[in-house]
Amino acid sequence: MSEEHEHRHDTAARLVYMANQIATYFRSQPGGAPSLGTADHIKSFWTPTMLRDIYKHLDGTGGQGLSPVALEAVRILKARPTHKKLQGVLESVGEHSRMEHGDDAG
Amino acid sequence: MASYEPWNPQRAVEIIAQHADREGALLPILHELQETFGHVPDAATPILAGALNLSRADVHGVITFYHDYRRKPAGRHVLKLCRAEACQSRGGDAVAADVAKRLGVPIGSTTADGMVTFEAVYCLGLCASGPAAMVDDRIVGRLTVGDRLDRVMKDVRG
Amino acid sequence: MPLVPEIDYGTPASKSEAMVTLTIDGQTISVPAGTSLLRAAKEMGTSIPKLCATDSQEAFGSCRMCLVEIDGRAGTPASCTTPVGAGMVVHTQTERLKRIRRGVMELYISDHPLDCLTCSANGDCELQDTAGEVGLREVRYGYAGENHLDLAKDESNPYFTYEASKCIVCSRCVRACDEVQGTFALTISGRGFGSRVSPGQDESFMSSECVSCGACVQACPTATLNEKSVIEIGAPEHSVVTTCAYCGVGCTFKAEMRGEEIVRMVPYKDGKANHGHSCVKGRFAFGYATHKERILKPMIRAKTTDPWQEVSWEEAIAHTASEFRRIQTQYGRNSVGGITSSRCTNEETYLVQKLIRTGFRNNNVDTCARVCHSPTGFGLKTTFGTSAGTQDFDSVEHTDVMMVIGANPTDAHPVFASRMKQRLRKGAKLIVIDPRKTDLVRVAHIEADYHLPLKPGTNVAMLTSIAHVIVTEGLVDRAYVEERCEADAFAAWAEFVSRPENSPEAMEAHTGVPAADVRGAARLYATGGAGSIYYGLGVTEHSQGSTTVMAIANLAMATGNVGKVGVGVNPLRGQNNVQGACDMGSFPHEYPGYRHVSDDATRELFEREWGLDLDPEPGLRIPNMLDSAVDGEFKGIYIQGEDILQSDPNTKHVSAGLEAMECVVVQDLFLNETAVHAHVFLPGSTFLEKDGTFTNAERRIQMVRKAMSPKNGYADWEVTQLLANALGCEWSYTHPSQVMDEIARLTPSFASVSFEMLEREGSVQWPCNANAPQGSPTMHIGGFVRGKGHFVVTEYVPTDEKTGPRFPLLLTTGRILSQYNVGAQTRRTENSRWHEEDVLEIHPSDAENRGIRDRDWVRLQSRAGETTLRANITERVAPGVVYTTFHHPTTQANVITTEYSDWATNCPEYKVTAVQISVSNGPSEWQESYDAFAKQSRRIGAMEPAE
Repeated sequence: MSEEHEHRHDTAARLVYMANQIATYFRSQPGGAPSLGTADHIKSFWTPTMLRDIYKHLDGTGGQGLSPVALEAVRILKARPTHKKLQGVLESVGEHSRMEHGDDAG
Repeated sequence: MASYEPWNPQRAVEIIAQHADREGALLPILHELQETFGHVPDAATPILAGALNLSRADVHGVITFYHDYRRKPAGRHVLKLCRAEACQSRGGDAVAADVAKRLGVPIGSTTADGMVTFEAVYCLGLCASGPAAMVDDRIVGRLTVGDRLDRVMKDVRG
Repeated sequence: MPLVPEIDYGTPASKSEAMVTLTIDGQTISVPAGTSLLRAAKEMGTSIPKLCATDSQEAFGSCRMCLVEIDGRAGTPASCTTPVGAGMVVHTQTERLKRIRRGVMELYISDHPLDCLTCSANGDCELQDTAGEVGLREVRYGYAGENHLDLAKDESNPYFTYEASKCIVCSRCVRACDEVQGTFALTISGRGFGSRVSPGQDESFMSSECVSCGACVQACPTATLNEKSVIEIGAPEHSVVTTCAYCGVGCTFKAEMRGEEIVRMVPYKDGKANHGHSCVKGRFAFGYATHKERILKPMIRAKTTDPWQEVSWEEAIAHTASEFRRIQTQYGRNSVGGITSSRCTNEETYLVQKLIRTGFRNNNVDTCARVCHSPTGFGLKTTFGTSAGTQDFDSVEHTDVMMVIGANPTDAHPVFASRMKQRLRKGAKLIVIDPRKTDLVRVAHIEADYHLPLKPGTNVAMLTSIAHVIVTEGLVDRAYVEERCEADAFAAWAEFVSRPENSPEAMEAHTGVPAADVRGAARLYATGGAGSIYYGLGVTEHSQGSTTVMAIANLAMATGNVGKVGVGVNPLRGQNNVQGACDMGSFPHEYPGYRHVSDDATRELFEREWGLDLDPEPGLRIPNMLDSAVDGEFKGIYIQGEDILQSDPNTKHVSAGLEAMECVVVQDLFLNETAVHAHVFLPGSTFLEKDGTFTNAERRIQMVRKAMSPKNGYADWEVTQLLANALGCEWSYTHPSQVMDEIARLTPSFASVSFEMLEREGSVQWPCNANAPQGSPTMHIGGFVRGKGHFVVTEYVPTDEKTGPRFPLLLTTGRILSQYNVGAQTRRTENSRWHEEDVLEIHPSDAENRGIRDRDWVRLQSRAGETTLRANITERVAPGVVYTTFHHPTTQANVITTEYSDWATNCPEYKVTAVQISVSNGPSEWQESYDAFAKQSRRIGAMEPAE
């Protein structure tokens, strides 16, 4: 595999890139709350696993590479409580996995 | 006998440009191309289509509709014999047969040596003076088989 | 149903509202002013003999059969060219007319072959019919005169034959090509007795400009232009009316059958999207359904390097279910997912997302809209409140200014492009924004008023600068904006676009388009009357795709161009049912009807209907599924009717993702590129083999009707049900109408839709519910779906895909008429005669600098990879830009494309790749080894006895 290819699926780098892209958009919007807009957008579209991974990156490196707005957005998200419905679904499906532990965060 | 330029796409483009903004520009352009080159070759069609934003089929339909637009150059001389009813009643059939025999080609063709193109036309408006013909730009009347025809044949055969 | 009878009224219907009363054959009738006598008589029930008249074309008056006598008028005028007059007294049958008609008929038949019994038009020939109608009994001229019986046949086109000896020079083919299709490929050459139909300059059909749409074949009253399939098979005996499965126009066809064999596809006059027209694909390219490469039996294998083993359906389904269960147990609930098809029906797509949500218990469902129009969904939802276009196709008849951006409709939506051209020839204006000189810019009889050839990747810069002109020059429709749009958002937007850095002069440095042209185009759109915007993937497949869609919406709102006929924002959706797939909730974050999975009220509605708890968190999009696979966390996928290896960007990454999975299930017609990495292959069914509905780009839901039984044994929805039940879902659908009923129960915009209603009405455009029982051709009338229109600030952010010394050119991609997307269907038909390979368009100066000549093999390289293809030197592209299509797997154009994507939806940035071109010797090594590998992977072993 080429260097570029490895870089591309470096999970954290990819998520940081995506978060920065979203933040760039919300920074251009009027209303003065770009990190909130960014946080809402990420929450609407990212899977719990992706959130888990970006939180891990935040905890591990302080959010290296994230633009200021993106960094703030990830912090906001991490601080929000998990959707209560999720617990019910996880229990009803009755399966355990490595992933689900991360979902309890926050 | 007119002298024509050899076909030249660049020159054609210039001619087209002169007329392109006219309403109904295609016919005036075709006339000028014919007058300049003595014919409108198939190669002109794509150029005309591109310049006037028509399809090649559009242009081809117009060119082939009018007999006057030749697709290949004519012979050195063009002999257009009237084959309409009034001239027929004045002996035009015999003249047509005689000319064809003397040139060695049927009506509607050019002699092998490229000297004469022999064509039919339908009414030159000289019905009282039939049989009538056009020899290059000259109009000739009372062209019965005999001296007058001999002179005409000598003219075109050089 | 037997062959669907369609009445030909002779001339088009008049649109006038004034009525005229007259008498025909003693009967007094009232018809709209402008109706021809021919049509008026037909509407009354009297058929006047005719040959050159047909109601899809303007009256021509050349055949002299439809003559009538009118009291007080001398002579025998043609009824096709004579409009009704108040108080006229018309006679359609008199002794004089009988004699004249017979005389005309004698002339026709004196120069016509007399082999009716062996002619392919026997029973379907208007000349035969008319000879019968006029009572022809003898031809007094005899048959020994000069005639055309010796003319050669032109069999050059793979789908139809031109037999000049049978031609009556009615000119219907020429007029069809001109008026209906708009290609002008035909003419009548010569005159008088020498008149002949001439493709191009008396060429064969294949070498002329003909695009094989078949309109001439349909219009021809004799056997002169006839389908080869009719010649081979014979006349059809019954028809099934159905919807085309190629592009987003959604043409309605009559599949004319002999038993279960299709004889031909004929466009249906009453089709609301196509009005009786079609393109080469829908009409002729249906042969893939019976192609020898079609897989009809399920197959499984343990490793992708093993040959396939054919197995029974029971075994294949049981194996798949057990594999998915195993994977979820081992790797977690989110380790599996699926991709729905934008080619399958609404009902089928709905069932796949239901399978994933209730069978896999997650939201890992996505569809190909991810890679094409997902920015449309996001952008229009944000600005207007609906994730779809605002008009119907007929709206184009009322537009004054068309802006076409990032779309090439003459290639990708040909039947709609013909409608656009009809309107343009009547005087509407046209602005084309495209890096390439597409056909719409200049083609016979059509010329764009403005072509803005911007650099790929600068759409937002361009549209923002157009907005600058509209706002700073006072061209905003203030009354409209005040009444219908959010004041604050508008004010912020207006301030933003007015800044000097957003002017055309400043943006010229980015777009490369002269500011004067941009200003002219902006003024034309804003002041030219009803302004409509049509756009395609050249807008969405960019890193700012969603922003561009919103910029388009801004322009439409600012100029009052939403909410009535003739205007609007019109995304040209690519596939036959991509709109439907989106409507059906094939998204990881949305349920059917575009409602977010986290919305409690919606989720509870579905939980009640489906009887179990649902995951409220968004699932994986396709690119995330692949990333997750490479990370070792995503292991199983159910792919229905989608070839992600060929159509998704960055092929090597897709390949790596698929290889990392443990159970890749492909449900398709052929062993496509994705199947190279599959472990289970479930044979799919074609649109001819199932009942259901498709939704086209107009939001029009249309019926798909079964014409033949599925050669693979099951319709696609039945396969999904088998799999769902093997996973424990307990579904019991017996007919797709039940699925639609369920959809209607759960989705407000579909609440009044049912098969029974569609059978009655033909089709309907959603929303269709109590508020709009007849459906909604035009949206946002009086108000936007979200309430007030929302302006969005669109700051230009250049893409990160930059040119440089190593990769100095920009590649953009697109479609061509004869092939369809990855070519899975069209490459398996005669359409490959037109486009056997993808070629690279390159400007003469770029070619010269590199020593490249036309047709040379060239290497196309980007940071992601390289491939090889032949060059086509042309000035359609500007210097610095190159272009190719993506229809052939051997080219693998997506090896080149990058991983950059739209910020909001991850729609890949296919349209901008920095590349270098250089001369090459032939196909690259990897292309050849891939080819070999793919062949290996398609081996099918002998059927083994079950354990």
